[in-house]
Amino acid sequence: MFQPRTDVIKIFASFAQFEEEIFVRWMIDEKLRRSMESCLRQASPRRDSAEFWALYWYKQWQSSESTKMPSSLVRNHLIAYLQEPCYRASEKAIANFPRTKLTLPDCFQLAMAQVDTIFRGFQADQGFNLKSYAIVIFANFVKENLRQNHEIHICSPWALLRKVSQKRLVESLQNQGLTPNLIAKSVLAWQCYKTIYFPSDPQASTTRTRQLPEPDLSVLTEMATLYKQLHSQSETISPEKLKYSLLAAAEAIRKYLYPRLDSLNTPIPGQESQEFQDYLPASDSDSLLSDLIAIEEEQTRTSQRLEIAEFLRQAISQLPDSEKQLLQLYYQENLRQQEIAARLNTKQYSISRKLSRIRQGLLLKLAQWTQTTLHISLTKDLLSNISQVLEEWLASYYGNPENNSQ
Amino acid sequence: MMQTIHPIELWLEIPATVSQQAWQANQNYPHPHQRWTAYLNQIALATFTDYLQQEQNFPVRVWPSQEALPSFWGVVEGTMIELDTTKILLLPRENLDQDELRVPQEWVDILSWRPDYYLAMHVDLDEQVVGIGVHCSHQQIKTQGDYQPSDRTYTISGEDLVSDFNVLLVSLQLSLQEVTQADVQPLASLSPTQAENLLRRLGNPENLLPRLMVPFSLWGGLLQEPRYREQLYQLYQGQELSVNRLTRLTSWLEDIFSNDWRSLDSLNLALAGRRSEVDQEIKRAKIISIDSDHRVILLISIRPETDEKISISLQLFPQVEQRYLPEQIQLQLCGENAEVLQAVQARSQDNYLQIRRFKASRELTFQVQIILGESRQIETFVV
Repeated sequence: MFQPRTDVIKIFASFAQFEEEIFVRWMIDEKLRRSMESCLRQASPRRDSAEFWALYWYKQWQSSESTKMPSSLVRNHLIAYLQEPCYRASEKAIANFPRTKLTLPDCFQLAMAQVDTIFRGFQADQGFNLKSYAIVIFANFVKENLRQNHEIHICSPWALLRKVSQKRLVESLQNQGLTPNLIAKSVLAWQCYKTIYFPSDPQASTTRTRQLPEPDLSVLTEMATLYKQLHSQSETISPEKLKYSLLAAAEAIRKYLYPRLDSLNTPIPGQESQEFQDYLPASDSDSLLSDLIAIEEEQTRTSQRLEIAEFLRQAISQLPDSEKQLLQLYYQENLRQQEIAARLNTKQYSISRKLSRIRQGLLLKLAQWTQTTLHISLTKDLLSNISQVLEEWLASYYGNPENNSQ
Repeated sequence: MMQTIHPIELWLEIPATVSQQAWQANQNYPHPHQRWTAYLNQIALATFTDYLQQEQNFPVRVWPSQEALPSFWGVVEGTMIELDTTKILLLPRENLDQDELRVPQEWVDILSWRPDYYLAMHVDLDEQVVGIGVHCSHQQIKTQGDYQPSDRTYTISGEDLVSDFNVLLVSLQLSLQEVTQADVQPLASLSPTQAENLLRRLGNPENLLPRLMVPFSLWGGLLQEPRYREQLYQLYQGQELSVNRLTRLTSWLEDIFSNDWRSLDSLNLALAGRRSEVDQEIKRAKIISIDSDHRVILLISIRPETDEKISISLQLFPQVEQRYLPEQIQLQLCGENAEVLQAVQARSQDNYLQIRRFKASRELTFQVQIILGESRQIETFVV
């Protein structure tokens, strides 16, 4: 059974361990434990709040990034901290996506590989916490990944080639270890393919794009002719070779979505590595610690975050019950739109439109409230931040068992 | 490791008749990729417009006009709409991923084609839905985007973009001020001869990708002129080049006429001649072959007005030896982007058709289209 951690040292020094596709225990990393213990000793007065240490390690991560001295110790403390939201997102996604071939540990590892995106995207100054931001990103990532995974699984290779961006194609080929020269040729072949070959009748259900068949020789020959025209040195390619190049590209795309898990740069529980930069200069961390205490106190004083929370709680209470229910299903149960639709006996796009409308309404209200209460002149960038704050708040609000009964 | 942090949150159902119509309506292109572009664009446009009108209170307009769209889709993907005063370029995609936004150079570097925002639309034909994807401003793509000369596109990574469509909608609702457009160097105008040569070369339906055949300055210079873009489209449809059919009406005031615009006497158009009541009126007529069996006479009367404008009237007559116009023949007055402003159609035994007299300012461009069955002849005028 998955048991969330409560002890602050454990929270920053242990990782979820899986056996036979299920969670079995929290595995303590000794080096991380020692580091946490020493920090707790230094901190005066003693601080036990996980949120406080999350902000502390996050600031450490920021300064190590800005000095171009990435520290795996700092990164690992943060990864340890984010185990629960990652586990929760993965567990729900797997439960809601019974057709997937991915296991829970696969999904967990894939999601955990997003930590750098989370660190880069998180804006500590907005007054929200790292965990609720991480919940949003993990959940989004896992849902989106499973959707794409499923689609790629059921597409013919020829259909698949139509369904990727050029960037994704290039990255898939790089992942296969192809040289830049070979990648350029493969991309050109793919561009020719996309210019020449189309479903003959997309309206007929039997020739839907997912089952797009192999192009015949005359079509391949047309592609080869275009290839020569567009190639900077007018290089020729045989239709047969072009076909295999495209099939290889489709295979690379498929493989790219099922990465080898050992290649992900996430810590392996129980293994210690010694790295010079793991030990931070003591004086730096001391001053940072006192800075943080000041930050924390100021945050409590202004309590802007509480005001926002209060405003949103009010706004939600004014929504009709059907809309409250929808938000609950989406954020609390973390269901995908399809599953909500199935539960409420309606279509996915109708759920999608309703959810979007509710969020648009809340965003508009929150934006107007920010303008009038905080006397801030809004910009689109700021609005984008507000939207992120709203998402985080919804996720953490509905993630809190106390709010579930509503 | 791939980046897939943007889930598509808003999915719209493609209305039942829309995709069918879009497939049927776009058969007239020489190449499958043009038809496919038109098909996807029309689906995205219809689905999205439907949603905006039902759910949002924005007035939606197609830019520059609904009628002009086929001529855009024949050369490049993308459909521009205006929500109030904000221009949004819809870019239909079949991608599953949102790893990048790729924009054809035409929609970035042609000054008059600049949108405020680009918006990716993920068309899923299997599920018959359109997902609303990432968006970015012209300013962003111009300053942060990578230009790729091989396919003349600007790309920007999905990680750098806002995927939340609500942010765009709410910023429009609140009328937030943002610099959305970067400066773009205007492209030089082409001389008529230059344009004609380019049209002859690029308009050959054999060409698969005319947009990559000549330097962008020439290609963009051609497209920025609506009448050349329309002419290119007509060439793709197998029509003859009608470059020589651009008529400058103000030169008539200086007694300069091209050979095909003849005096009424020389055409024995006595009937029309007698109807002239105003002295200052200049009348000229041209014989137009609609197809091998039908010829008609287009008569134009102009007179200068006091406010620097010119008043214009249009009439269509049967060729001299005949009494009646072909039944069902249409005379249309269209704007420079082929949008129909006025149209009249002949019943059986009509002697002539007439477009209401209208006033036009200097430099205004308009088209006259004469349509009979499948045949369409286009005359373009500049005041």
